[in-house]
Amino acid sequence: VTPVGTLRVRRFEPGVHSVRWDTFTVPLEDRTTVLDALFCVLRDQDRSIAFRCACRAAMCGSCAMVINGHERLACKTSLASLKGPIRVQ
Amino acid sequence: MGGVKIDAQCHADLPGLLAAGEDSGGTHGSNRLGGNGVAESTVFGAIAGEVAAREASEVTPAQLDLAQVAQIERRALQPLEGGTSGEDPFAIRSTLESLMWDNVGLVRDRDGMTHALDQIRALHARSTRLAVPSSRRLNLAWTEALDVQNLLQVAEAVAHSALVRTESRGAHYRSDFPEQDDARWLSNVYLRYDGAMEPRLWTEPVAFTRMSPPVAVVS
Repeated sequence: VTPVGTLRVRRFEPGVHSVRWDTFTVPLEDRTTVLDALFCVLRDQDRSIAFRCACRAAMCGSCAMVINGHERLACKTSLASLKGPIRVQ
Repeated sequence: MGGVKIDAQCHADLPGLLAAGEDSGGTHGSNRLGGNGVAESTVFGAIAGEVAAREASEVTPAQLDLAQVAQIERRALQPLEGGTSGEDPFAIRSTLESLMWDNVGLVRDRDGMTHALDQIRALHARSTRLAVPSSRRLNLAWTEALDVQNLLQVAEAVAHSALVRTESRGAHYRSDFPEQDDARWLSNVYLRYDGAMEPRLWTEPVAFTRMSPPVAVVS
């Protein structure tokens, strides 16, 4: 059984809804990154989630996010390196 | 290695279209060594940029075929109107990835690539009725739908040209044709989509203008 973790995502869609936090359960596979987890959510749980990324290889900087209070690249930040529920904004 | 056919000034066959770097083909012959793509992008990117800047002020824009524009627009917007019964672009992409890895990957053969082409065409048929949420605002499922249509076309071009090349050369290795065959295959394979479902495919001999390939050593 794949272990799972909690991913909390800060979301905002101007004119549609105000800022809110959504909580998702994501698989914690070996070497899963925050970006992988966001794609898991997009694919399997919520087709309306939106985030920017391009190279997925820590070269372009498009997926810069605040992850657990620190500015990080989502494609370069492994879930295993984070403690507790993961907060993405 | 594959890519858009260009001339020395990076012109593609379509007037006004230039391509450089990994989007263009031919510079590295049958294999591209790791890191050499950066050099190609730098050199040909500079050429393409200079040529584009010079020609942008000189070239008369081509007349748009408005019927074709409308057709492309319809195709792009279709997934937004797919409702709840359409095909899932993520599922098609995942199937395509496994299909290409298993059958058109590092080691290929005729049976695998023939199977892959059949499956790609089936996936292509499914990709004409995709469904994603209807928002046009940073809709990642929609971009996935647009991507997957392009991926299917590239996958078909790769599998089709690799199936035709009945030899092994560079990064192209076929277990059913493990030897390089210079007698038949000092050639490039070209594909062109003229609007028909099937691409037109042909080969042209490589023009050796400066250097010739070494004569193969028969063991």
